[in-house]
Amino acid sequence: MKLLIIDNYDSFTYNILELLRSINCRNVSIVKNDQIQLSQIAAFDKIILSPGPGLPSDYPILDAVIQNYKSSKPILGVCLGHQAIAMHFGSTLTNLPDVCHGQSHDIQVDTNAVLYQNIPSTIRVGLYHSWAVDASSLPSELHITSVSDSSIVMSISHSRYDLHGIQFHPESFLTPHGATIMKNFLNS
Amino acid sequence: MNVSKIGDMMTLSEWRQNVNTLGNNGTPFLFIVDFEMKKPLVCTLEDADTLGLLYHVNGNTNAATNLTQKTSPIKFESFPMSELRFKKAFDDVQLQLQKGNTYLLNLTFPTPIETTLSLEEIFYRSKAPYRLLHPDFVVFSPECFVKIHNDAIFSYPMKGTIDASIPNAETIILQDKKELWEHNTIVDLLRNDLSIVSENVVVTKFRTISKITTHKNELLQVSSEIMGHLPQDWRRQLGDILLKLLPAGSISGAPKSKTVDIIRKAEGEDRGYYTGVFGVFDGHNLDSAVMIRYIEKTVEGYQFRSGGGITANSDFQSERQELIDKVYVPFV
Repeated sequence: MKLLIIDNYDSFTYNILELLRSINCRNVSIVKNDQIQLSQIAAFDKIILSPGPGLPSDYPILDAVIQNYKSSKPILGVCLGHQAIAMHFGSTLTNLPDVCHGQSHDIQVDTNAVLYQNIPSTIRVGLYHSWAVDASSLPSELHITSVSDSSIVMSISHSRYDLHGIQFHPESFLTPHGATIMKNFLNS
Repeated sequence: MNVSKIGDMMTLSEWRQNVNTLGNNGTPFLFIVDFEMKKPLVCTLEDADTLGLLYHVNGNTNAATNLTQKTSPIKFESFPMSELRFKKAFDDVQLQLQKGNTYLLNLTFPTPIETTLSLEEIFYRSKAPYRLLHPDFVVFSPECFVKIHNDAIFSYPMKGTIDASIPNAETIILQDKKELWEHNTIVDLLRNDLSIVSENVVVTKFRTISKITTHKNELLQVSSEIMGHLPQDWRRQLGDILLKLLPAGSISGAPKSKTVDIIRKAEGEDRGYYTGVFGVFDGHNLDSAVMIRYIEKTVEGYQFRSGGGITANSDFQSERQELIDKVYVPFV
């Protein structure tokens, strides 16, 4: 399987690579978001949109990638990547009054969801975010697959496409079930 | 390699090639890279003396050990920057944290000092595992950048200190949530950096306590250990490996690229060699430091540069105090 990570100039991108290596996924390319061309992506089987600073609107390429490949390739968005998926389908973001940087929280997951196979219903996850998807703005085609102990949307999946967004960081050492979540995406 | 005097600059690409060659040949060398990566230096350990460079890296040194103690009283006075200037920078950084452009940012400023000691005397008298004397500056750093031993690379992020004399100091610092969040961030950042150059990256120690003795008091320092496995031929790509890790995570922040942009705007001037790195390759292994605890000679006199990590939970007054408190020399 050929995997592409689109790197939004983040400092956790190589933690994602290391997480993939730990589950024996080695055919991975990392390309920075301003060095990728849409046509190049066709050669890959699955796409991961990395976390990153700022807002999805700072990187229009993310929306273009989702637009072009949402129906043909599995896509996993992490943090900023998750927010890019939500915004592509018309959702809005809210700036958190208390931002969460380096915190670990309990979240409730839908154990029927693709990403949460073989995972307990409550898991500890690492968070780095100032923005969150506004639950009331989500269209019906996106459903919430986990929420935090502060009722913040922690992940979403598309009802028809193999398209998933996670607000927390599976690649963080604060997320013990990160490897299983990533395996579930690779097996999806 | 021709480095005849300290003023001979090389490009970053020349530096990288020189380091790769020295590593591949097993030639011991000393390297110094500034924060902006504009003035990298490398020389064989044999040449360090002639270039006016004295190093001390965990006991590996080219400095004389029988130094003479100065008997006259030492004058050491500092003149902290205005509260207003620090407030402006601090508020700018807080806005960026709230906007999600950074999660952790190391903000630093120079403090003018007056002292009767020369840079050389400070080099000899200061107590620190990593010390460097350069014609223009002196470093006495407690902080490791990376160590490479056999085929393993180690990093030791340090975040969080407390006065050891406070009752229950250890429990207080370990239970402090803001300290924990900041430490988590630096651990994830350094896991990432080691994952760029190595594999099987693991956190081998998390938030362990060590005691530091200064001339003023005893401090408890919280640190972690992260380890990764390098490819067996790491020595011949040592220059590439070191450059991929720069600037050091502990003195920039996360995410690194955007955070460095914010630092440049908030600080308004180059840091130079301060918060750069220096280290020694002994022919087999490597040990190196982040150049914090730093005094430089300028046209206006001596400047001591210091700083601290700013997060969304940082308090303005205590950050300013930390910047001021760090302006001291841990004398022997």
